[in-house]
Amino acid sequence: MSETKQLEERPCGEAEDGELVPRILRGEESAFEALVVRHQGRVFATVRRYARREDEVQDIVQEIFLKVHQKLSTFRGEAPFHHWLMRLAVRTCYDFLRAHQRNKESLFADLNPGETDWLDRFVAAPEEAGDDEDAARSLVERILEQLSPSSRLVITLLEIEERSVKEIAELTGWSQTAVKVRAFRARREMRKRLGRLVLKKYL
Amino acid sequence: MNIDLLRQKLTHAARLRTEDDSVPYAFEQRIMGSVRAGNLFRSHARVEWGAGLWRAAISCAAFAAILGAFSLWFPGESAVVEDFGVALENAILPTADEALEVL
Repeated sequence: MSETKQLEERPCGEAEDGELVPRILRGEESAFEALVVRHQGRVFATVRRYARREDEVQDIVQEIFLKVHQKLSTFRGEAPFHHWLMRLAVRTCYDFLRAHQRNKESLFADLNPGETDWLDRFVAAPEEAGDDEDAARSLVERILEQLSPSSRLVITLLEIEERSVKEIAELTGWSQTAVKVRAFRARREMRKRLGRLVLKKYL
Repeated sequence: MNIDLLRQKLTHAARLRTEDDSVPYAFEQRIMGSVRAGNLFRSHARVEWGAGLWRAAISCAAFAAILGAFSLWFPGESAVVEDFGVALENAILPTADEALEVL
């Protein structure tokens, strides 16, 4: 029996991603299920950066895996499977952000007491306001929700996930120049939003 | 107020947050159900055939467009002849005459 045949016969849970792909293309459902089980945690974590409501998160993850199945024949195996999967995930999240742009102005009106308190402390003594507090995290979440889809995506990938411009270009399909331009605009947009928040609250 | 410092602090706060990678119970079953409902396993071969046919159709259409454009821009002698019947007669009858002369 050839080595290839032996590899094909490995249980799905033990097979490498690259071995599962041709099996899925031949119609083996259990191979696709194994791929989903292996990668769904990573996809959930990525999607939760862009969508808050759990029902939205689940719908996006489902859409991503359906796209994975539909486009699997385009996976050429030159890079690890999870790189290809993350490209698909990030682009689907970007589509979601573009389709669900929220009412941006209304969100500033209802800062919760924790966020207000954190901002007050920052205004009084900027260095002493901790950045590991829940209030700071929910405040940044609020700011991110007000950014345009491309700004939110680039801030998340570049500044929060600390990815390189090259990586972002590969994930999004944008050129490296476009990533740099969008990053510049995104930082400017974020500063503008923060400035408006401070202006509304303290002046 | 130092807006840049505020931005840096908030970005750092977001960086410290580890995103939740928990998966709802039996979520893979939901995905498998939707894949089966869409009949995607059986459609792979059809999709590949369809893609091949589309590629062939696009190539044929492009070739036909090039030939069409070529015949429009370089009409040649045939475009001068207005009556197709006369042109056909002129092409066939001389050959028939030659054949009769040989006999």
